[in-house]
Amino acid sequence: MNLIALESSGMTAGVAVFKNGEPAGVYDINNTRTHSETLMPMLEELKLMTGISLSDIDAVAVSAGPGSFTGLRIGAAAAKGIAEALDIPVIPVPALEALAFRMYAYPGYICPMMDARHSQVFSGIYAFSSDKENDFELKLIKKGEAISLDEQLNALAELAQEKQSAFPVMFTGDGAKVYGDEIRKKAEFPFSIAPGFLREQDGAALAAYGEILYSKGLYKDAADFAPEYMRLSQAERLRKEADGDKSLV
Amino acid sequence: MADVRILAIESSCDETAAAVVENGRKVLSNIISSQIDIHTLYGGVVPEIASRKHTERINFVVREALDTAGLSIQDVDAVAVTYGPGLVGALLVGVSFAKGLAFASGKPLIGVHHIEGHICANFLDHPELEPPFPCLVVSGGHTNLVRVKDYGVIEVLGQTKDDAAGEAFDKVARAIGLGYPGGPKIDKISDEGDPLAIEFPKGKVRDSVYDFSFSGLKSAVLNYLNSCEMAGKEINRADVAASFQRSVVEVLTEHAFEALEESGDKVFALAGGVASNRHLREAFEKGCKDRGISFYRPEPVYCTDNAAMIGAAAYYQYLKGERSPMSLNAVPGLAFGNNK
Repeated sequence: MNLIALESSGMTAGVAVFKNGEPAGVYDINNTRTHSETLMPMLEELKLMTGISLSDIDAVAVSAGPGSFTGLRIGAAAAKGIAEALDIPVIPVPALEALAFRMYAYPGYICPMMDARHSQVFSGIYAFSSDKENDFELKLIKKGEAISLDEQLNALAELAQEKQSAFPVMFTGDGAKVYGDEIRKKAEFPFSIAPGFLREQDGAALAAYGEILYSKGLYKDAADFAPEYMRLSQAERLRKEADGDKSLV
Repeated sequence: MADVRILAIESSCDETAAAVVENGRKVLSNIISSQIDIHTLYGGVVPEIASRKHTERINFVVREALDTAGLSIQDVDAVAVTYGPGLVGALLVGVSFAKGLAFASGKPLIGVHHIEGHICANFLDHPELEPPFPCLVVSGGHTNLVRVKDYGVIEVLGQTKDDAAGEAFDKVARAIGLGYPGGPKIDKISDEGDPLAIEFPKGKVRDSVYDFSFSGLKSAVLNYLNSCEMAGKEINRADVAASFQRSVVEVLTEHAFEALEESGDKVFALAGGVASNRHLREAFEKGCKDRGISFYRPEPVYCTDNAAMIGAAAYYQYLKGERSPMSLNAVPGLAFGNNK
């Protein structure tokens, strides 16, 4: 099984080509926000340098969100175009799960956080289990959502007390950097913040995790795929507010 | 020469559109998925919602365009896409999709200027039309008086300094309670009104012969409505609409005919969504007839945003060997003459 992966949900523009579970090439740029100008030229370059043939590609993995609305769409639309041309499916990869997957085999809780502005983070809680043949599997502990840092820290504190994990909670994602000082001030449980080279989104984790999702049948016709933003547009939120519906605000 | 078939994509505002056009003139398919029902709830286009809807619909629209034309992506010669001007988030969906499609199919990519597309919509129904000719592009987002000197060579004679004509229609329609989109509604209700009932100012710009300004006119309408309300005077909406529309039509036709007189061209073309406005069209038909000028305008379906017009413009770029790189970006304020 061969796949192309496109990552553009945050600061990283990342592309990767995996052949039968092995990386053929990975290319990440972490310090720009002009994904529209970088992502496709990077893929073009990667194709040239790896010498892969597009007719061998079985699926396109793409960051499905949450993340920057525009960033997500740059990746999503490109993936949808590639998949359309090659008549192959899209693998929507939840961005928080891909971030957690970068911490492969970490024995404690993993808390990816993406800065969601408006005093919120997009965050979930994950852990690896290794119940079958020493293969590690990413388990969902608490579903990803737009949430305040305090709420997520409370959830982690409860979890730490309840489960008495011997390992610190690992914070990752750009939110862990943005809110690093606040986490250090407020967290009343052992924790660590992932170092830069593991903290942000990247093409390789997206591809590797995408391949697992593919093997579970979690892929879609390109036409049926759209990002999961985890937040309504501002106009929709204001409209719901005016209608007295607070549930989605 | 072999036929050139171009798959074109347009997503600059609230229509997700794809088309296949042969040799820049023959439309093999023209698919438009409008989002107007959604944006009507908000009284205008919401950029974030537009971008989300484009992402959801683009594959369906492109598939249908190819199916209707009876072609596969391998049968087309190039992929064209609008890259500006327009809403940046909306443009990015079409641009990113087109790049993915062109990259994976190995087809050349051609970035197209949205307004050039509107102008080239005139080629679709009129095989005999050739440059040079002046053209007035009037839509919800644009008001440009240009002269098409040659294919892809456009001289801007005048443009709006503030609101686009269509935008003024929308704002006035909202103020008199007609709702969105305002253009067709004002056009219709004007039939029942007296265009001479109220004297509104004309959207002219001092010292700038061919430019337009519609924000003053819009304010004058709003002031008129306010003063009526203060005085307890009943407002005749049809009279307001008809008088406002007369003012817009007059400045548009006057500028266009001045430009025609100066250039000596015997051909004139109208383009853009507002080209469907019946009163504007009739004023141009009459004015052109009186002056012995051939008047062109696209079919209504090619006046509002569509991808066939993008395919028409892209054909002439294709012939010139213009190709866009994979770094093609959306340019919301794209000026004329910047094709990559």
